[in-house]
Amino acid sequence: MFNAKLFERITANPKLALFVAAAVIVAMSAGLSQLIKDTSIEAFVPTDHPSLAANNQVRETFGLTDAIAVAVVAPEGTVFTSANLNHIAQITDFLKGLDNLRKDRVVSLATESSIQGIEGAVEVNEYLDIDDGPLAADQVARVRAQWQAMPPHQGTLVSNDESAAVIMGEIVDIKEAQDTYQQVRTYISTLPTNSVQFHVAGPGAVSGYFSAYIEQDARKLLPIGFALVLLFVFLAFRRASALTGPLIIILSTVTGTLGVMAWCNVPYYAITNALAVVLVAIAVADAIHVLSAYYEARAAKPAQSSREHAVTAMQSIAKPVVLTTLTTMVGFVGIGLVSVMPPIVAFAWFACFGSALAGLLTVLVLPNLLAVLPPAQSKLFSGDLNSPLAGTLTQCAKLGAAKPLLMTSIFVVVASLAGVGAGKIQIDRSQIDNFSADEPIRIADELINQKFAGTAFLNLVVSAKQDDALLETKNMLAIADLQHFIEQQPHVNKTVSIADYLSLLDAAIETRPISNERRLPTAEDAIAQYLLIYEASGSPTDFEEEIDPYYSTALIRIFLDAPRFSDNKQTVENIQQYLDDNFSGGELSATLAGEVNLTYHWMQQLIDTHFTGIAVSLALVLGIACLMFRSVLFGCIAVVPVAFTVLAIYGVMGFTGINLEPPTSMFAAIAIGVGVDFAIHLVARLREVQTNSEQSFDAVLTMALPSTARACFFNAAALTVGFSVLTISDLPTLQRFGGLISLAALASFAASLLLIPALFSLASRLHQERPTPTLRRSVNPAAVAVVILMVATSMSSEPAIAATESQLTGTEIAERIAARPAGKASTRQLKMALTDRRGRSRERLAVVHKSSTEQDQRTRITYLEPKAVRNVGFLSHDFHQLNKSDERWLYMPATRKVRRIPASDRGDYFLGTDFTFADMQSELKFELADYQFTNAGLNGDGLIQLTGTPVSKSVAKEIGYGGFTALVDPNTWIPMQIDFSDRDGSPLKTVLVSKVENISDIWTAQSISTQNHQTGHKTEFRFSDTQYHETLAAKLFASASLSRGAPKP
Amino acid sequence: MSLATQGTYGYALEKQESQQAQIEMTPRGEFIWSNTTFVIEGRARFDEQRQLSRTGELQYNENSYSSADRPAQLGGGARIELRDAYAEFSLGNHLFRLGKQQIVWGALDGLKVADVLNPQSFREFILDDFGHSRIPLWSALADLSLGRWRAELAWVPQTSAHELPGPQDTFAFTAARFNLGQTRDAATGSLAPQVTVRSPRNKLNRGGLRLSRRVGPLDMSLVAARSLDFEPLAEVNSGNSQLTQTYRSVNFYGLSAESSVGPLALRAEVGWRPNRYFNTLTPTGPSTAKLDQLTMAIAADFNAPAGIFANFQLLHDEVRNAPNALVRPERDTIATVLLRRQFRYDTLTLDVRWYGSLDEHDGLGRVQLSYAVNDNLKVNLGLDRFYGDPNGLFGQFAGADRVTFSFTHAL
Repeated sequence: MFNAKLFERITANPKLALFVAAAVIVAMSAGLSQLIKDTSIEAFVPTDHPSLAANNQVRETFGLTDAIAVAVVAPEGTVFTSANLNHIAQITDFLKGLDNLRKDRVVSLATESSIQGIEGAVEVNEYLDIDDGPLAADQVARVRAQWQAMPPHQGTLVSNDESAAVIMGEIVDIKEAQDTYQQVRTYISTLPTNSVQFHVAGPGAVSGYFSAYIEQDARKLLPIGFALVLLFVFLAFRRASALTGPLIIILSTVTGTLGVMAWCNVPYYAITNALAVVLVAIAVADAIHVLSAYYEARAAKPAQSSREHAVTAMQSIAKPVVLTTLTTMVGFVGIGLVSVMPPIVAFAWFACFGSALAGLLTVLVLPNLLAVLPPAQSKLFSGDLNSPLAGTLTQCAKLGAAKPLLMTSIFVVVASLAGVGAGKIQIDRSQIDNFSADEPIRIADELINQKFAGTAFLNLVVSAKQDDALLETKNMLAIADLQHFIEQQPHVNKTVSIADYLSLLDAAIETRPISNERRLPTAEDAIAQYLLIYEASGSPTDFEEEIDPYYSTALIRIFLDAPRFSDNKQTVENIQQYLDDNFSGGELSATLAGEVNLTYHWMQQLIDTHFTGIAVSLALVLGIACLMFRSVLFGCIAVVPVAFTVLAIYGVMGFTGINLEPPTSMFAAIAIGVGVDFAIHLVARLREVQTNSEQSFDAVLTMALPSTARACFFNAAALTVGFSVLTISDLPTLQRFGGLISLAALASFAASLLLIPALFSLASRLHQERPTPTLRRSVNPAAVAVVILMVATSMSSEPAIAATESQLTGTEIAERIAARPAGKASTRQLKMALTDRRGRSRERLAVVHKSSTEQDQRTRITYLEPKAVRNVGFLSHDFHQLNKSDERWLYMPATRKVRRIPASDRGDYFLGTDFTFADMQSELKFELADYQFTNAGLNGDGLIQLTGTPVSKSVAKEIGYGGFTALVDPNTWIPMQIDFSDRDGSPLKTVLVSKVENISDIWTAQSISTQNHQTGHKTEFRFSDTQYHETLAAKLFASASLSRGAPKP
Repeated sequence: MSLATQGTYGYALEKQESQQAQIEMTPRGEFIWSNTTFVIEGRARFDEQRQLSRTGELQYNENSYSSADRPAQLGGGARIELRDAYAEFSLGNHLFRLGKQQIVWGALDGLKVADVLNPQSFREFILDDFGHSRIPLWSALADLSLGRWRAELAWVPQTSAHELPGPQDTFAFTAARFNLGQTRDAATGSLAPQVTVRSPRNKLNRGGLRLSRRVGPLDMSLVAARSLDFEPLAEVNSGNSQLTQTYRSVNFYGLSAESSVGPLALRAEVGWRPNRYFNTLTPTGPSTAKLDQLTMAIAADFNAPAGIFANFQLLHDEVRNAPNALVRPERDTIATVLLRRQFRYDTLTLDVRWYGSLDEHDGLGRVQLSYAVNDNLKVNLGLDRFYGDPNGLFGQFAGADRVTFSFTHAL
């Protein structure tokens, strides 16, 4: 089929062929202008799925859409202060002014009302008005009292402990969520942050943030992937002119496939980023094989024309290229056939299409390109092909052939271990896991989960067959019972429905005390009358989120504090069971909706279809391999390495705790389709040489492997490098996917190289004859991160009287801070997060030992993670005596040396952090000799405002600061916030203490962060396992002990 | 468990060709059982170019390794070796480590005075990090805390010598001082006269003692060691007047001191090797002489203004009462300067280094820029430039100037 005549015809008019191909690709790529983006969770559920229909019903009936949540957090205080309520009003006003937020669906203390009963009458009062401005103390107390009488607003509008409030704004167009999120973030950053923090979260924010992530990723990944893959092609041929063909094939494949995707109105989903990278890797693999064959043909007959070389090359390489293209496509077909999630189905079919396009371009366009633009001669192909690389690969293959039983046994043992790991795989995911642990959105989400009833939602729609049916008491009681049942389920923190408001109205009218227990009126028509009474003083639209105007459909909002599928699976199933038992077939019916329900259903689909998809892919590949070799035995031999690889990767996932989720679930089918190519090339080549040779199998390997193994190596390397680009994605889930698929490409190659010769050898022994060939042809991949001390602070609790503090001088306050005891010795774990202005974060885990005596303070820091800096040790002896030099030692495991290092200036930044050496040593205390202190009085939260100005310019230069303003807690004498300015007076950085604990009667700062306003860099220290001791062994602080690694507990 | 992967590409500036295309993987496992930590580390290296080891990864050096512990060669450009394999346990304040390990007793940067117990690979001259190129040996170490004293007792029965580049390798020692007074032709690699090689033998009487304690502001150490002389010696066979490359033992006595004053850290090391064998070249041919050798080094680390870290070292090495026939120079004086500046919160590091021989007026300049992409991935760009007399310590590598790009990934 692939004879010379065919390729002579294909290359008969190269320029015309290239022109036609370019026109087709341009036409396909033109669709890119139509590309739409869809990063929502709903995208993962088929449009006809009942859970999606339920969501649409909620949206249409109750107007609920994804919301952005702004949390106002007063870490150690209450939001019921004049300043904080003013913040809430201002933010509410700002959100109402945004085009993409629904003005009528911005909810906060500034928009909601409380229900109160006064002498049997119902009063509906606003908490506060946006236009009121700052409230007086009695007004603040009134707002707080109103809120305390409204259980539905507790844990929803304001956290139960009063330390946080939330403002929710529903989004008009989710596709614009990214801009809206940025607008909100920008506005929030302009607000004053005295003792209050602002966070932005919620499903709308997540979606917006996610979109931004994807754009960043796409901008970053593709160019890098491109560059790395081209670098590999260059290394394979060492000629820049050899890059032209692969470059055109890759560009055409990627733009053509994405263009067709757009023409088909298939959106660009989050995982489509992976598609582009996968196509780059696949496209270049074929090109490498063709170029290798081209250079071989050129070396064999240098006198021929470039077109003739191309024809010769294609004649020998076209069949394997087509066959491996088919197996790659089959891997994707396996996913496409079985999965029901639209993004994954789209990924599978368009990856299949892209593989086919790459194969077609390789067979039809590349020979014409080679004919028109012949690459320069590569000396790598000028003579002996037995390069060091080829020699090494052949040696490796011979290891398996020489000891087939041993090699097979090793693989069986590894496979068994992998099987154990595979048994540990968890099927789980959460949208918030798509963000790094230090991303503001994730921190905000966790904080809101902790403070409020939760950011994960279930919606339950209760419908009656007739209008006004929900005004009947028995139906409302059924809703209340349902709520009670739901509230007993795991992770459910709160439910809110019309029943809660009716219960409040009942309490107001019957002058009962407010309680969390739902008590509904029992008299006939009471519910209708209560709602009428409410409308007398409240707005008729106040309950539009809870019940429809015809009183036939009600909504129960369920707040959960766990975002993961595994956390909520049982809850969803329990509720569904209750609904099946109690809301089926009667007057009332009920349907679950909401993000948690959606996640449950699509993850359930993953569980149902994943392993079937893998089985289908393996079976298809096995079928093709058997057909190709016309032998079941050799079909099986070709599939064994890739089956091993898939099992091994499952093992890696199980042992490393990588969850099986939609993106990672795709690795196996891709690994099968792509990974089997190596085995097919090797099996085909070995059989071809065996057929034509009577020599020993060792000699067959020597003849067959060098060129094929080398080409497979570069193929595997290009795939590995191409896929590994995904590991630098901003999306953790894509990072995991990229890591797994890279590992799979490498493992497939290694398993093929070692196992196939071993299996050939074993097959020969078992059959006592050489395997019969049937195919004629086939063809050919510490940093010096040191440090950090920073020991948290402490202080015996000496209650102070506010009036007294306000009379203290600045120096007296600084003295009290300095006198705060910190314990004689301590041990603790320190988790550091260093985040640059682009949000990229580095994390460190260290154990800190500290000991103070009258002479000195000794600090030892030993790093535990990451592995690159593990066991790096830093030791300092800081002497109190003024004229005695501090001493420091550093142990670097890489050099195996403990070295004395020079002491730094106090104002020098402590290696890689936003803290200076002076900060490190100060333990949140101020050096009395450095500053002139001023007491600026108490702020609204009862914190002392202390300012410090360096006593001289030389001191300012030494410490690196032009001054500071601190907010000092008079109860602990810990500065909760310090704003430093530089020597020019510009804001430099802000140190925030967000968590203080009393440990062994010592107040200890457990969480400290520093934000540098000039660089955008941020450093966070989180302490744990803090223990105070009377003393610690002196040997811990001896330089000799540094080389012994982390001290044993 | 951890896995470090390092990929390096080097481009030779003079020859305008690839010098190195190397991938190196270093898996390491640490297992704790009761009070004992077991450490095992291997290293697999493949260099597609083989310019640094054209003779074959180990072909030239197979006799410099103890036969019981020779790395395995796979094909022409690949090798696999065991780096660390030891058990470490504590008894009270004392620590014991048994197995294959590196014992490092010196604190200089890129130079050696008291670091005498392990040999070195010179595949990349001194451009490779010493921790990376030092050759671990099977040995036992007792680290004893005796009040204010610290005593380290090492027993090193296994013997391997320096791994030297082959005659046609990029960093082949072509200077006369390494070739019995003749400049070797790097192109042909021919070495006259031809020598036969005798492997070093394991001996039970090799090891050392280091005593350390603090004296006022100084960290002081005394070292006494008997080890293999890792540098080969050419000896004339009495029977047939042919040359044999042999290895002898040597005694070492050393003293080191370290201290710091404000932004300055100072260190000094002095070493004395009495009766060491050196090659001489007399009118009748090559011979050997027993002479004393004194090596002294002083070093200073300094935190300079503008965030620059500076390191200065001066080493003086002298053969006492050297005869005129001594093949190597009577004295070597080497100075080194390192200037380091870190940017962007220590993620970007610029190193500028200079090594120079003050006697032979040749030297080496290095510029390296490294960027930590994240906690696990680091990329480096480097330039190495040699200059001076082609017969000098550094000048002999003038043809090896290169640009390197590498990455290091830790998993």
